[in-house]
Amino acid sequence: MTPQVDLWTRAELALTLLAVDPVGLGGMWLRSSAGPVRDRLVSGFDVLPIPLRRVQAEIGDGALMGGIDLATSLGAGRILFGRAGLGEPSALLLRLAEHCPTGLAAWLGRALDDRQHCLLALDEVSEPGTALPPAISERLGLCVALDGLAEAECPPLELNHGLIGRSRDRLPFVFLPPDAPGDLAILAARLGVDSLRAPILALNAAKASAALFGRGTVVEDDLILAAELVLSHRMPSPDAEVARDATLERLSPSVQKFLSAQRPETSRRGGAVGARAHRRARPEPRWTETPDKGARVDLVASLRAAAPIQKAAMTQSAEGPAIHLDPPGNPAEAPASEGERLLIFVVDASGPFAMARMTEAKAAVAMIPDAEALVRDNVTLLACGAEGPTLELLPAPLLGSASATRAGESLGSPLTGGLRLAAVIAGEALAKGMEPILAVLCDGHSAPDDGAVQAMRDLRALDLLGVVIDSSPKPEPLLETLAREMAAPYLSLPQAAATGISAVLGAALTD
Amino acid sequence: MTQPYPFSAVVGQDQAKLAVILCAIDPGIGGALIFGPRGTGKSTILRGLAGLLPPIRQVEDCPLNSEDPGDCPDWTGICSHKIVLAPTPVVDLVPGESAEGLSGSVETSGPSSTGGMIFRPGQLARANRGYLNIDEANLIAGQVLERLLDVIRSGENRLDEEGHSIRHTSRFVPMGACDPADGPVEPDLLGLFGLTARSDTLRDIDGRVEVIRRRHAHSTETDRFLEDWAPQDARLAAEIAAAREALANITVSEMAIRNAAELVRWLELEGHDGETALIRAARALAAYEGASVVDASHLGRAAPLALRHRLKDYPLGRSGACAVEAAVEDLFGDFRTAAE
Repeated sequence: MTPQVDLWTRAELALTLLAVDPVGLGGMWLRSSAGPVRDRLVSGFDVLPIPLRRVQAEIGDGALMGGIDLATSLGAGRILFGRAGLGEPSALLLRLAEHCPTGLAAWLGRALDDRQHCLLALDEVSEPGTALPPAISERLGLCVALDGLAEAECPPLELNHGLIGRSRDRLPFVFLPPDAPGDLAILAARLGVDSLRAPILALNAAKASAALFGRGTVVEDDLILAAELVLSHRMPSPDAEVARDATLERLSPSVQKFLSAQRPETSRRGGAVGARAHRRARPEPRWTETPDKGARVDLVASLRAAAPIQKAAMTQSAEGPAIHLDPPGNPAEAPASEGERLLIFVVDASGPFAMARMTEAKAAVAMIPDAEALVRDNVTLLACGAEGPTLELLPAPLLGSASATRAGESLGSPLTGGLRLAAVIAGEALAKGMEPILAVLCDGHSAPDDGAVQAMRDLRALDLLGVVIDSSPKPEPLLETLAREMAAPYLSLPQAAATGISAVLGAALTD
Repeated sequence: MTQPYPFSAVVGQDQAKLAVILCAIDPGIGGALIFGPRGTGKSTILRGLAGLLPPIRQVEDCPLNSEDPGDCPDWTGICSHKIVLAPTPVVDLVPGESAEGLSGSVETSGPSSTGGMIFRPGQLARANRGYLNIDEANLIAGQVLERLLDVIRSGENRLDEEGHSIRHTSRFVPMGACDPADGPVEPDLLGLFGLTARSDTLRDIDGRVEVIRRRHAHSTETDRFLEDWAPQDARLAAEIAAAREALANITVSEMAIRNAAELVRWLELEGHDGETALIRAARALAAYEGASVVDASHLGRAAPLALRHRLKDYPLGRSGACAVEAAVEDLFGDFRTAAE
């Protein structure tokens, strides 16, 4: 059986489950260009137990606001208007869903929340920049992608109306084991799916699955199927998976197995991975992205990454000659690699908005693309308070070095102290073959003094790249001067929110 | 239409719920905006508000929910003087709404007895004397936004169309929900909300499981679920009603007013809306907790709700509440321990 047939079977199964519980599952996000394959699946929509109705992108006010209610108007002797809404429960068919305006999306989202309808969104994934609005995609339980399938690979649908009808009758009596909601909650959190709508929809999918397969109670297989159909396309990125602190051990073994096999089908890492890869002495094992089929481990990259440790691993291991794959994410063992960048982020933590600035700075660091990997070994965060600079983060290669012990010493004004410590760290990083970059975030509250200017000059002598971010409401000339001392660009970001700072830092690290 | 999910059954989100409760106690606070990521219960909290509000006395069938028959405009065609008890109106506004749907429209094909004119009232009429839930508040734009801002400021809906001029009272409390990831809220609109609160993704697994359990129970055994939670909503509604009664007798000392002013000055906020909203919110909080005097703890806890969105630098930023809390601590010490 080829993967393509799997894809079609999966689509057929999704439609069948939707027919068992159309309202509970919210609907289907069908991602496919127009063509005979899509038409074949759409032709199966008549299996749904509620009438199919088209929704136009330019829906009239009559439908939005409700028309004149003739019967009650005649009875009352004056004009009365009916309720806005879509009337009878129906399956709403939205074509060209990627062009759906936000207003209509919000309105359809409301209609789905009222749990009377289900929505079939046909997204042609045509042009870049268009996308199904999240207000809709978030509320649709199922996601099916058909691109890449040839017509010959898609046998006619075999939807057993009788079986589906019986399953629907069984649905209210399907027993939900008390652990099931917990398993799905943990699974969703572990997969990086934050929204709570997803596990709720998955729970309904699991029940529909149990009903379809003639089971009186939801079993593990149902939960796994539900996770595959409802949760897998919502996973944000591989990094997010690592970040979750959900306890994997609490899951049943087969759910764990599913989890370890499951990888997101798309990745947001995009260019950042490629941009950084050339700096790494050891290539990272990467997920190769095969559109719509999920991603697989790139075995060659994994082996290449593991090659340098083979000799040491074999001598330490009792297993004898075998390939030893380095478990990813062990910073203590990761050698600082030649040419790798180190961001030294100096944040002024004095003045009335100190706490706010630190929070934004930390959020910004966490938001840098690939933050998981970078923060571990590429970012150091220096908070310059009145009692001297403190180190909030120190990358693994520099642990135990002199810079760690210098933290906390008061070396002049808060900013001066921070810059001096930054110079120490930069020197150490250079000695280890890293390429330090300096970023300074302050608002001019503690005006840069002579000490700070001198520290900047010292940093210039190290020939670093750098940037000075000014978060004061009005650009602060003194900070601009400071930037000039180091020959670093000066950036005024009065709304210095985490997103803006993170973009600047991310660019500095990966450019 | 299914029954709204009970307010009390929402897991966590204490700040967002508190903001809504304070606005239910004192509509004069000026409404609340709940912001946060998708699927964190923002809309659910707002929709649950309807179940907490005491009924109002209004002229039967009046589209403006008028209190007095004399307030019913001619175009309503209401001749009845019958006063009925009706639920406080809570009207939903979504971004797809047209300008006509919002402020109403004039049709000229009506019977000659009305001069051929029929005024079809919009959401602004229906929300009068009640609450207007503005979902996805950051996606409201164009003419709808302009009319909304105008009416919130003036308390009157003015419509000049087809040679007819319609004016009617439209006083309501704006309540909003938005996901900042979709874009910023129009600053003019943001400034009109008395309070803002963040609804956060629940990180604790037990909390998440409880949400899923309750949602599942709500969708599969709706009647039983609503029955189970009705007493808790009723208790909360009674507390709100009692707090409304008590509101007039709450003492706001000279010191509390000074502290509020000092806090606003410290945070370098523009205008005086911040103090007003802060004092009203602190007073409502005192009433809710059965206190007779507004103390530093009330001010301290109301401050992030009333002030964070007025900060110049970080409107709705993650750190907004931290900045306000830090200012409160700098000025008044640790208000939390003071409360204990």
